[in-house]
Amino acid sequence: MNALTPFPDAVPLAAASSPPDQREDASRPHGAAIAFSGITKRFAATGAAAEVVALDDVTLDVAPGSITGIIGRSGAGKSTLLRTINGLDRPTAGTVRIDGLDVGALDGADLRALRREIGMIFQHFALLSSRTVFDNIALPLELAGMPRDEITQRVDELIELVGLTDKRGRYPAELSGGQKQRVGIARALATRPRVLLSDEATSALDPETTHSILALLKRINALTGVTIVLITHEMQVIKAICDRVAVIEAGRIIEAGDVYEVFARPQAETTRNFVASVTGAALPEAIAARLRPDPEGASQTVLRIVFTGENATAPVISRLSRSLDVDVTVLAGQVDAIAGKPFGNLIVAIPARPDVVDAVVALAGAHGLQAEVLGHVA
Amino acid sequence: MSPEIARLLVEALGQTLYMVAAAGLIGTALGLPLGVFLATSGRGELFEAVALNRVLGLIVNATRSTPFIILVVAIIPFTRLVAGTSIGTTAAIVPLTVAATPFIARIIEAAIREVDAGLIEASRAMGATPLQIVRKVLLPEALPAIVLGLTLTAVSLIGYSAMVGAVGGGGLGDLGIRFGYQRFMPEVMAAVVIVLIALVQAVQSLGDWIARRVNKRLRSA
Repeated sequence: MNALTPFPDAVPLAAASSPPDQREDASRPHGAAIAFSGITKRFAATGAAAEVVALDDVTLDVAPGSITGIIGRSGAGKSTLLRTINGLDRPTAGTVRIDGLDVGALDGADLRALRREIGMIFQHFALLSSRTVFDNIALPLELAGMPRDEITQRVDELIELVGLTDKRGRYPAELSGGQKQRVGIARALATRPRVLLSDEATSALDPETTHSILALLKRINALTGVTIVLITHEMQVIKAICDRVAVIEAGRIIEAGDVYEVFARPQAETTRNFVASVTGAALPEAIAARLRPDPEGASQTVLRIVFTGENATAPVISRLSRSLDVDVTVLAGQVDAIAGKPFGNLIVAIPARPDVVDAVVALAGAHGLQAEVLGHVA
Repeated sequence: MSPEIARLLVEALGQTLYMVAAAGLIGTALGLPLGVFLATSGRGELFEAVALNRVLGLIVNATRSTPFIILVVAIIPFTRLVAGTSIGTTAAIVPLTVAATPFIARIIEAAIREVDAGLIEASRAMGATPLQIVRKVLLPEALPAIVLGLTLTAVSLIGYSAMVGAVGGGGLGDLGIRFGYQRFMPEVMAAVVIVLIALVQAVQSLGDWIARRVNKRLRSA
């Protein structure tokens, strides 16, 4: 039932009898590929509430070993989509396949065996308050029936991996949010899963802690090759660690692709807003209020220039003003690294003369940059 | 107080402890699985069995709404069937257990329903079976509330045990009624009340102490 696995020597999914130790080999990625196909999820009408379509014909491929982010506002359906991967939610129509294995076809013991190959971390950590750090991480191994001495060895490995050696015997109530999520991550990795699901794992954390948790997830992905699927409402998270991103709105995927591509050329309005929230490409409000589409009588034209790839660091602004003898006012901007590549975003104002504007756009294009007229101000 | 009365008091205390302990233990053994089932068999829950859940809920409510003294006499045939006799301290354990079981079941049910639903979901995501979820997650997480609930049950049973004098059950309450009230010996009544207060106080303190020990939630770092 597992013929489609891209790793010929990987242990088949849902084969509970195989010892997990034979699966880990740091030199070889062992993350699973996930394929959503035509996923629709309807929640039946109850009483006065009408039927809700949480997911509407979602098709999406998650590459093995990738960190794929699904971003959307609350209620967009991202959580439901994530839960179809381990069968916590069953789609009304469509299939989810993990390395070719149809999740919807599994039940009972087969489904539980599959779930042991899929770790999950949660926004509110979901740790047992009655168990210590050690015993929380040991729980999935106890459930799988691992002998006690092997559990001890594995859990101590994991405690070290997430940097909680000094908290081994502490209870969750004695830990900070970031430490609790580290326990959650260690627990999710205990059974050496091939997929790690992250349900808004950093949404309850402060920015600094968020950063360290994301760095840990990235390190684990590099170390073990586990496929990470995360859902979030923060573009910052996507920017920090994802390779691929899918934007979901009202139950539909409205845009999906390579993170750098989506940041550089967002197509849908929602995606643009998400991108603008982290790239410093948001127009200052005072200017946005005065912006109008009609150039008539305007004194300045506002442009967005996107710097990507090797041109991201080109000294284009100084060249513009020198070669065209134009005064360029920088209104907003940021240069950043996205998916490890430099990425800049500038909003500038230039004199509102059609010949100047055309020349600037042409010059930017000649440097391989995109320039887009946002509007005009008087 | 005469040595005779003191001897009666010690004997009555022993009977009360015996009845309360036996009814409490048997009631827990029966009420625990019943409570777990009530808490996990609703619609969409681990052991979904909506109809059975409703029937058991009705039986539990019916038992709990019957005044204890009426229950004691109403189930005399059942008591005779189980204990071989309907009179005496051991026989009195039967109605006490019948009263305690639904009480304990509701307490266990409430304690389990307080456990964060996110933990059940997390355990399902880990591949836990429903029984594993009950054993490894629900019961340990509900333990502080269960301990406090069982303490409450023990205190209630001490009160109920005063009524089983009606079927010759003996115990402190019976001593108070027969000597303190019917034989006009107020000092016996006073002694019985003092012993009962001390007993309830001791049970409550012990329960609070255990509940604190097993509660890892409110620890200061």
